[in-house]
Amino acid sequence: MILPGYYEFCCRVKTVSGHRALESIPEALLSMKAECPMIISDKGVAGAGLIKIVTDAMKPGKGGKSVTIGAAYDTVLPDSDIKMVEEIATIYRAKKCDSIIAIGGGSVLDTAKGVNILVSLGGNSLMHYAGAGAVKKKLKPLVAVPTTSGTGSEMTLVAVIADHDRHVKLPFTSYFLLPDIAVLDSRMTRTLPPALTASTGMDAMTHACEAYTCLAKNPLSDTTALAAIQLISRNILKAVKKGDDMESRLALANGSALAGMAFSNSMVGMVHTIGHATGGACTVPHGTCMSILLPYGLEYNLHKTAYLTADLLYPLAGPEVYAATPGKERPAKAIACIRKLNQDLYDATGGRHARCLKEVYDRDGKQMVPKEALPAIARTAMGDGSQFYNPEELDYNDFMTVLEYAWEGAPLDLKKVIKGKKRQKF
Amino acid sequence: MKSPDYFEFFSQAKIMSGNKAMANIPVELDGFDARKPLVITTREVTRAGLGKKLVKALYDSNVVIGAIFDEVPHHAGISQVRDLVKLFRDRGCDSVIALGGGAAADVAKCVNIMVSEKTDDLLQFIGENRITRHLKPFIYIATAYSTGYEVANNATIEGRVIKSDFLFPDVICIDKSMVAVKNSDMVLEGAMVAFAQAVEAADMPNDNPVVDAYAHAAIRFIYQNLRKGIRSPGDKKTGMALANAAAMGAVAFSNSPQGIVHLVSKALASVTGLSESFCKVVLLPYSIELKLSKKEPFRGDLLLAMAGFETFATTPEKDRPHVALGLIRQLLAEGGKYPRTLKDVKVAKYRLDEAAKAAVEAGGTRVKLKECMTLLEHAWEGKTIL
Amino acid sequence: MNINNYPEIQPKTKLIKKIYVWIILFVFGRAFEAAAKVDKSAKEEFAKMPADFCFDMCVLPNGPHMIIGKDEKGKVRYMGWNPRGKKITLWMKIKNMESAILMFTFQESSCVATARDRLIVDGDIPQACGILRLMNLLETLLLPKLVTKLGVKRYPKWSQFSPVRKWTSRLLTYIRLVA
Repeated sequence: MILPGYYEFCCRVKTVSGHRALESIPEALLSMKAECPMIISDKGVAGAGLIKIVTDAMKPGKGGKSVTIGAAYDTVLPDSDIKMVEEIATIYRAKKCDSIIAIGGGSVLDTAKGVNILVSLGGNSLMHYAGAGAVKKKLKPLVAVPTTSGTGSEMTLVAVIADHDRHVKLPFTSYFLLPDIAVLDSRMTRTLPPALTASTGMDAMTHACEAYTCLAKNPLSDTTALAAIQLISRNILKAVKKGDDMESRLALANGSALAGMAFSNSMVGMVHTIGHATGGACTVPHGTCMSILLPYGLEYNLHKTAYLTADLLYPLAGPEVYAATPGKERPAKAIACIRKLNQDLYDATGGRHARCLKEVYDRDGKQMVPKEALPAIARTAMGDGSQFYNPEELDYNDFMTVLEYAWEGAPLDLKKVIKGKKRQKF
Repeated sequence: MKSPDYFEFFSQAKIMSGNKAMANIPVELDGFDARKPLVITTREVTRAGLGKKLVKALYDSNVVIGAIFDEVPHHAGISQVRDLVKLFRDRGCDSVIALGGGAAADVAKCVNIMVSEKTDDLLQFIGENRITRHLKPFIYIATAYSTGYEVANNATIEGRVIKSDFLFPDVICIDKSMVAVKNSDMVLEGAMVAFAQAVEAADMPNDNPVVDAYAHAAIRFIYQNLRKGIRSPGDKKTGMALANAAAMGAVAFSNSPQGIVHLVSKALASVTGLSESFCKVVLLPYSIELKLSKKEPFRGDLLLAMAGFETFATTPEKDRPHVALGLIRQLLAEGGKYPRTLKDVKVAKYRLDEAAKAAVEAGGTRVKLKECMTLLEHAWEGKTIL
Repeated sequence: MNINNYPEIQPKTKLIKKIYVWIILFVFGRAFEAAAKVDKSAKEEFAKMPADFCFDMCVLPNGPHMIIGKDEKGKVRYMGWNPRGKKITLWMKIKNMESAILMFTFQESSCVATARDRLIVDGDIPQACGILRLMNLLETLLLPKLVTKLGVKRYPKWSQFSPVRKWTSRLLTYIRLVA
């Protein structure tokens, strides 16, 4: 195991996971001296009846004290916005709430983090707290209940909130933005449709694989990533095929949280660079980009990190396959395993899980990534920070090469990769 | 690995480990809006020049050290804590740094409780989960004199234990220039405590994937580095790996219920006056044998953590625990002259009974008297249970 | 307990290290300005930056600083070491003096330093990416291949960066740097 010359690892979120984990929220809130939480969520979550499951779990805690829901805001938009944050903060104050329960995916949690800054530190404008490390105080208790097994945003210390008037995205980073508790409950992901289960699951898989192979890896991100890959690869197909298999649902949620722990400490590489750009330029869902691009990312870096990619074979395929594969073939086999998993998911979802970029269609059956869009994607990718954590350098032409292969769905021609020096210092 | 039906995990600590890690302390303190720490340490640490290194690391920053108190004795008492609380308040400090050594960390934690809870009565916090709020920023700097218990979520003062998740350090700083141990017995003992903690945590019947992740990293580092650490103590690279393992082991240990090795060692230490770490080292292999002899499902992951994918994958499933046990014994054998049975250190046999009873008393339903006795007797004699 | 035995300790300054970092940043800043004039890809990279672009690279908490920005005519300028009165749009803060020394004595290359979290970037990320690419470029231009190879992930191949261009840019940058 590699001990890097310097690393940091921080995971201050208390993780509670189980089939009935939601029931632990009241006690946890009471122990933090909060009894009137505000629920923040979005339409999709409310529509699936998930808020009701959470409120039903708020039975009286020990010692007769109980938690009452102070307010609920269930119309968070897919893109967190500064005005919305201020609006929610006003409701929070009017209803005299003292804590926040965020139920949903990335945007809900980002919004909740923003609201938490405002209601804890006072003021009406978030702008003041934007940037790295501007929040320096303990905020109000924040409970995160993820409803997709993928984003891992319950483990990250970043919130990105858009200011649509000024057309900027404000990043907020501080350890105090981390939720106090992440509650992983199998009931929350039970109703997730197969295609979404597949893409969010592969999103988490990508987090873990990149955490293990990219530059800021560290011993703890390694072990959490390997555990995550193992949980996801063994359960994703089951969860896609049989949605109400609670065991695999919970395993997937655990895997995703572990992957979140890993990547929030080790950062991610080129799969995310290109994935963010594809999402930004063509509005392709994040998970879809990730599952398509993951094998390409591993292939592109193969000349530097083959020895790490080889390790991935063990959690992906199990000890028997690992032992039966000769050492030299393991990296290729690991990548093949991921491709096969994508193919299996494609079959299991009736073709809704895309295998390559040209196969991505929106609801109206329109192709989302036309080949003409690739240069724009590559240009956007040049401005994404995650490329600096990638083992190999990437410039515009490299992005184009990878994108062209990923668009067609053919394995990357390794001869076309411009290779730098062999080994990277960690 | 199967997925558990329920688990919880929490660790407040941010681990910063590596070259020039201490130089990052000002930035961390600033993140908490703190700029005047009280440094608490022991004489042996300052005598080794480690206090000066800390002072130098904080040059070119806005951090003023409130004071460096280096007279924490091995068994610190509440009066010391009170003095330090006074010093903390007089100087207007806003954070606590503990520098190496178990006693320093315990005292620092107690000081932090009193200054954060704004009280002069420490006794009310003895027990589990009595602390009610977030404490002041607390940074722990690992040194060669660390024992591995410091970063756990408890503090021991005058033999009484305070346990609370708020007692985790906010930052664990493992700096390359601080951890090189000069003496190979100390290397072995420190590493084996971490090893015992990690193995016990990873081997609990209820799976906890996050605890496993911490424990596996710890086990792997110890297994890979212990031999070199004993052969050439003072080597910085192995020192770093072992210090990392100690921190990870302690976090894993804090998140899992106490196992038989921990309970019995603790009891044995208090009955005989041996060090708890030593007892753990002696008892660990026997506890694994005990488990095997009971035909309990044993998690083969231990072998995976020690020997890596290759060995694990090529070993048939039923052999894995035995191979793992063999590796542990081999590892212990590297300890050379280090005593390996209780007989060797002249523990009177009749005291075992006493220790077993104390362990059962402390552990409640978690351990059975008969098992404790089997474990102790075999460890005394040095003969295998299987 | 006599508390006078445990005095308060004020932080001192590591003067030599500070001067060293100051000099490096000074040279680096002038090199930025020079390269922006003579090298093709540096020009392109700077052309993408907005008109009010002003970049501050500093060591926390008390400097030294290096400020690079565009003047009224849109020319890239090294603007000295005093951030006071300037409207900074992008910060790259090195967490402490020791990290700065590790970076500027080439013990840790910029990519390793990023991976080790030695830098805090505050501002627009695409701009910061541009700056990091420019820093790699400068390294290639200013330093001999042997040294640069240790630092960058991939030394540019002939096809990407012809020796003719490299040497012209290198010479011109050096001339402007000294003159």
